[in-house]
Amino acid sequence: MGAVGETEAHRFRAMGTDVTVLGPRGASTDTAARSVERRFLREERRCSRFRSDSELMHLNRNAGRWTEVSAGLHEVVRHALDAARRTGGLIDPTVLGAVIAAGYDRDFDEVLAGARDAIRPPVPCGRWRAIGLRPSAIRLPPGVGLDLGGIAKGWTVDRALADGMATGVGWLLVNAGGDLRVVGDAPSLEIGVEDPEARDRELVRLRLRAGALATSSITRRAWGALSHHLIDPRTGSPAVTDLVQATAWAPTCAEAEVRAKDLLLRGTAPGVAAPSVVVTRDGSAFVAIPEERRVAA
Amino acid sequence: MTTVTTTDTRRRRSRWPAQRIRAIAWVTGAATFLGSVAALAASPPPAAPTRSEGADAAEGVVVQRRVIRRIVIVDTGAPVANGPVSVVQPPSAPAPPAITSTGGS
Repeated sequence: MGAVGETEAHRFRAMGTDVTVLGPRGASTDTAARSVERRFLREERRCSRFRSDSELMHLNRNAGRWTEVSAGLHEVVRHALDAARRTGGLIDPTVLGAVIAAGYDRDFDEVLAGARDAIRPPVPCGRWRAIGLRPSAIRLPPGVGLDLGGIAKGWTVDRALADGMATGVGWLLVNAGGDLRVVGDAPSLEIGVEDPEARDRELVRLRLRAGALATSSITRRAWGALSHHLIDPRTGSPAVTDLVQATAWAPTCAEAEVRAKDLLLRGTAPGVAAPSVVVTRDGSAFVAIPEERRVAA
Repeated sequence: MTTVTTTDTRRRRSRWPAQRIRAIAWVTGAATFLGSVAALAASPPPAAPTRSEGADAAEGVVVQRRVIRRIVIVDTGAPVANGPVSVVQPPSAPAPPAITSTGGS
């Protein structure tokens, strides 16, 4: 294991967020980071709902008909449908109409600048059960569009890490706007969980040796009180639970993203599931992650 | 010839004076304009964010700046030595910044 001080960072922007790649100092990390960036740009072209030329938007435009899709898009959609089944529909890829009706109808920077259409009444969700899958084709129900959002981002982190590690680097961490994962023989890395009200303030610090952390929050990508990007498929409106932020650990980033969103949408009613950090509306942070064993001096 | 004279007379009688037509046009135009203004004034303002009952109840809780009042460490069993993730003990001295952070995007 190398020392944390010997890490090297590369940063770029993709999928509407800042991406950081960390690895051991040296040329190998540079090569790996370029490979990671190429993967992000490829998946953005494939899965973005903000690009009219993306494969996802082609699929959305063809709702009601069988559409040939790439193996990559097929895999992301299968992952999204699997998450929908496991969460009883709380993770729903068919929320595109609802999120547009809520006001998130273009790139978020433009939404923040006020360039968006009027907010419209909630749109029903839950049509994921009617999506048809064939080995290389997908059929969306008529009038239904997919928003793969965070699901695609977490999945891309995992794929990008596989690409990066294939270049021969010893270890890598990829952080895409808070969805992060470490692989390889990494030093133990300290990760700050941000305060939902102030990104520069650290709520709690975690030590990550393996696996992934993802955070879902309703205070980011918000354009007004109760206007944010996280749609509750049960109402078709931006989610309102007793939580404002949830961070979850899982072996993969795709899974951590699902767990974090599921926690936030479900609220604390069933109890805090480990390992996670959740922040409630009344300003309490519940940390359900094992403490480090103190080492005697 | 007599028939033609009668038709011409009837045509002249059925024609309205230009002044009257102009007046009617002005009145109709003005009424249409004022009607539109009245309809706009009476219509509800542009659509506001739609809220459910639950959302209304929660609205009072939403604040501009939420202060984290307490951090509760939930008991998850015995401390771990080399688990994949653990809580870092609060340092006694100011610690260097974390290598990266998570907070949603």
